[in-house]
Amino acid sequence: MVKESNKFSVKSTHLIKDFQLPGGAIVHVLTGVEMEVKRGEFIAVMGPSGSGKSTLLNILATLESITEGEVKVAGINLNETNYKERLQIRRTKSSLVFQNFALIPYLTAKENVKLPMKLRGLTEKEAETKAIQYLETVGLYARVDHLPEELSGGEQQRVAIARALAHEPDIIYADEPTGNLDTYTGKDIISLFKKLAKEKKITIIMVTHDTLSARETDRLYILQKGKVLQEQTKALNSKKEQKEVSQK
Amino acid sequence: MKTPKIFSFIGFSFKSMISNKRRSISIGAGMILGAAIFSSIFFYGSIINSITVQDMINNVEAEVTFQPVDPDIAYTPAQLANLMIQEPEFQDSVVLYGHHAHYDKTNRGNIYYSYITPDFNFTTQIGWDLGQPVFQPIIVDKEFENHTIVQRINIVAGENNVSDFGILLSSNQYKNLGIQINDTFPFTFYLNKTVYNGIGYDDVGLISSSFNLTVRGFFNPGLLLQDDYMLISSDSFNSTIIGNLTAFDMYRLPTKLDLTKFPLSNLIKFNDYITIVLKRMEQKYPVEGRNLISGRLFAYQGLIVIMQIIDAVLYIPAIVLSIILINLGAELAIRDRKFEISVLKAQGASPKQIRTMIYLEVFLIAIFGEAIGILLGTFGAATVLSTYSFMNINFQTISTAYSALNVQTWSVITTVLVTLTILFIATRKKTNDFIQQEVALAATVEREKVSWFKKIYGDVIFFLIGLVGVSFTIAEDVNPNVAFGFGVELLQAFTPILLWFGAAKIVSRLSTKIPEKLDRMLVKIFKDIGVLLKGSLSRRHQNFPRMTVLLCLSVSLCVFSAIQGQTGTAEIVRAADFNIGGDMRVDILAGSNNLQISDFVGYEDQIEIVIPIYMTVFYIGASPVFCFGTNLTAYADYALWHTDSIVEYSDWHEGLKTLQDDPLRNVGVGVDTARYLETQNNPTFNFTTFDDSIYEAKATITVDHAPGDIKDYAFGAAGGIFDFIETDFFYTMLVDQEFIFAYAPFTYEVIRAIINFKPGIDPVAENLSSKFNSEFEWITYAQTHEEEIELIKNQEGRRFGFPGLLTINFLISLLAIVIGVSLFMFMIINQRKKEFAILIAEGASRKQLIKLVLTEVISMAILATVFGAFVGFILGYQFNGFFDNFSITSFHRLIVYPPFILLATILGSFLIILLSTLVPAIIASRTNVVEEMRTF
Repeated sequence: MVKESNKFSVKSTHLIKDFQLPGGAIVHVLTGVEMEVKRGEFIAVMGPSGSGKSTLLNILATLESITEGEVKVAGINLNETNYKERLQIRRTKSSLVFQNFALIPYLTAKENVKLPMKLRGLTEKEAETKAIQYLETVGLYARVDHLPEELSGGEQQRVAIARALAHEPDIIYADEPTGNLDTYTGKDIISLFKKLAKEKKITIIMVTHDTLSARETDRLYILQKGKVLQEQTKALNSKKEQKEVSQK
Repeated sequence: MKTPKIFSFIGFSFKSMISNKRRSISIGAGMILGAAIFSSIFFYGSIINSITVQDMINNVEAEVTFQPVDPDIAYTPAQLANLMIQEPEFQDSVVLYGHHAHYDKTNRGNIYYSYITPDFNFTTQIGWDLGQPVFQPIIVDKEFENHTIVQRINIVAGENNVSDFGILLSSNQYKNLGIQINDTFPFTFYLNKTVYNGIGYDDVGLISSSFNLTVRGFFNPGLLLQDDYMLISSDSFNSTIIGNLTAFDMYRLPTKLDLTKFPLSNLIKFNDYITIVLKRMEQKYPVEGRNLISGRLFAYQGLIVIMQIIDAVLYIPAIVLSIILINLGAELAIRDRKFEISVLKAQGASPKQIRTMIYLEVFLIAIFGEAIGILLGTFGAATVLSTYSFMNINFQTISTAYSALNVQTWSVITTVLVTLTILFIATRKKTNDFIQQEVALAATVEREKVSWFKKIYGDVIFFLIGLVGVSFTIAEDVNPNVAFGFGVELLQAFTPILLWFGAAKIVSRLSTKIPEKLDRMLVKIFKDIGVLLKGSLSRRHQNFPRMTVLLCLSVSLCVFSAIQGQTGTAEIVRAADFNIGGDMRVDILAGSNNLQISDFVGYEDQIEIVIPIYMTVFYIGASPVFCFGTNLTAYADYALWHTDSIVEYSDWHEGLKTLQDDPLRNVGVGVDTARYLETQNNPTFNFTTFDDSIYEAKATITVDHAPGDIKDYAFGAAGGIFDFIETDFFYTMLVDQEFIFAYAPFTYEVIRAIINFKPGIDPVAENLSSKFNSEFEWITYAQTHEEEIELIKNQEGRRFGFPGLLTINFLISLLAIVIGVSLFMFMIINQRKKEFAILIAEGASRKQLIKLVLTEVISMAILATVFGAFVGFILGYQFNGFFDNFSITSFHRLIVYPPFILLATILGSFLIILLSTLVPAIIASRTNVVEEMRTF
């Protein structure tokens, strides 16, 4: 695993991803994405359906391979990694937060948070202590022994974020984290991400359709037809800007 | 509103079938195994009829016989026999003169008859009082001496040769009359008639002829030849006698059927067809036909019923397993469609439409499964048949066995109907359950209903009653004199089913409780996935109970088959030990009262010891007692014995010693003899010797069996196929040879000897049994231990096809484990794909996922294996009595628990469960995260 300079948390250079359909036809999902995200940045990725947002996220999260180009995550060139190294990245460098929380239904909040720590070999005691800490961080200390079905949507997403923190990651990838939440709760989750980025210097890359959430981020990438159409270096503040982005 | 036709869904069903391969495989696999099990059962079962008939016919020289009815018949006997051979249904026909007593209707009821008597006193010949024998002459027409019917006569000693005044006698004659091969005696042939004199009958001698006849061989009596028959060639008689026998219609034409022309698979039809052919012959020729095998056919029909009952009993477990598998396959597949059914409902599909779509798809898959399953079943049955012969029919190759299978349309149709019905019932129930539930509930877990049977602990009650049945069996084994009566026998008969059913239900009950305790241990062992295990195992899938039941039953069947298979194998060796007694056994022609190594001229250097077994007859009251005596010291040192051969003596040497302590008084008696004489309470009894002297003997031991055929005799039974039904017995005694020499100095003879060869001599490799048979005329039978084992394996040991049936059960159990676990885990993994996707996203490695899936099965596998092995042990024990009834030996069947084989079976079953989980576990570890996440 080759580790380079730590200037960027995530850097993609001319990233191309093609899929072959069962009939043999090739679909070009990403056609040369250029992206640079610094440590502790909270960025949003927006774009219409089929623009390649989720594929980009999956590649960055080492769940999908690259067809062409180069991607560096936490200084590691993904092209030069094998299965074990990618597994290690998933365990310690990055973590994922999903739209529908993706919690294991039969595990309590605490057990869900303990899960990644146990998988990477932490002792029961360590995992237990840290899980409670992370749940405290997301404000769920009182709900540690509740099963997911006993929690509200917002609370479930907080458990998911606590679980993401349990990886002690450099980067959190969030795939429409507010998509299943009401506006108020969604805002709450975005605030949490902002706090994590600012206080813990965790890079947050969030795919979203929600312009209200996007405007809370430091920067915004707009994808169209597999390419970065526009990169905005400041958050969307005015309603006019939000409208423009939505139309794109 | 227009209702769509059934076939409008066929395209949808095909598409669904092809695009959901795993689901289709799960239905198909259940059906394949189900169809294979049922078809192999039907094919294997249906062959019983034809095999049984073949088994019987193999030992029959001719199945029908004809005798003339027209006094002025235009044909000569030879012409008639040759005409019979021309008939399409017949293979061979011969002319036998003499035996038939002709009733002459035209001469006021005169009866013509013939017989042969010895012209010397047999009492002088053998030494004890005996009425003079009268033989029935069976005169073979010289022209037919080489025909297959004559050649098929079962000669047990000497040769099948009646030329130059040679004769063949029944094997019993050499024992009863002391006649030996090459003995020449004067005999007289008589042809008489009984003439009606108006008031009564007078015997009038027509012809008599005296000649010296030489004994050339002995035959085994059968349908054609009976005990008092004497076979002679027509060459030994002048033309006048043969002419008279012909003129008085005193001849018959035994005829062999061409069996390929008859329906052998149905004995009743076979018998009817014989009758039809006989009637046709009677129309065509001046003869009266007689079916020689009809009586035996009906006896065999009874035997077939018994065999079918045995088959049914042994097949019940396999059938239960196949039903569970078909059910499981169907249920898991339908469960997989829960979401799809909800969508269809939401889109307005009526229950009928949903059912039609599902039934059609299941039917299409099932048809493919049936075809493969029936092919496999046929192949399986043929393989088992060729591996383990059935009765004494030995199929050398799979193709021979396959062609003998007699695959009938009804077998195929029944297989298809039975399996489809099971599948349909399972599919219908589950489909209806899902159709009835609310769309919104589709994602929720179904709740298991607790049946009333479970609520009242019916399973535990059944199991306990089964254990009571076993305890009765134990009590009987410990004390053979205990008799509990019909009620207990009935309970014992149902015990295996009660145990099996009870155990299955108990395991189902425990399948969520005990594993949880085991899981706590596993969580400690597998720390990295412990947190997951704790959760997933405590919310055990609702099919776990059924899966545990399937595994428990399969393991129990494996263990049961291993125990009874090994017991059966050991039984064959025990039977050989008993029949042979050492390296070789030789049976000696009557009349010899001494035998030593020097009698085996040319082989003295190879023989280490010869132990002659003497036999004489005494009387206890009016009943004969067969008394066997030998040199007990040599017998104890060299003969092959079994630990259970002397009742109440774990060391049989000690038992024998009691006889040697007082050899002229102490005797061993057979088990039944002991029971009838009540020697347990009063060991002394009186016996009468040949010269009417009365002596006292003391029964110091009870002999269950001992080499040299020393046992309680089955007597009065039909013999052969009905050996297991003992209707009466002779008293038997085992004594030191001194006892016989003292009390029967003139009336004993050596009947048998046990021979042990010197180290390095291989009697089989040197073909010694055959050499002894041919070189020593006084030996009627020689057989080595190894040859005996082979003989028993090929004949008696495979009676009822037990090894084949047990092997089928064993294989089916293993297959049920593999298919059941694989099916189950595939479907579970299918349902848990998203969970595995989350785990991969959260950093779970492939190894960890495989470990997780395997670990989830471990606790279920441990419970199923432990409980299944326990039930298998009990079944093996309980079934021993059942097998004992049909055993090849008449002595107690000793159950064998082979430690290594059982350990291998139990551990093997456990490993097979885990290995069957491995492929689904690997698939789980390769879940496509992106694909699964997309559908969140």
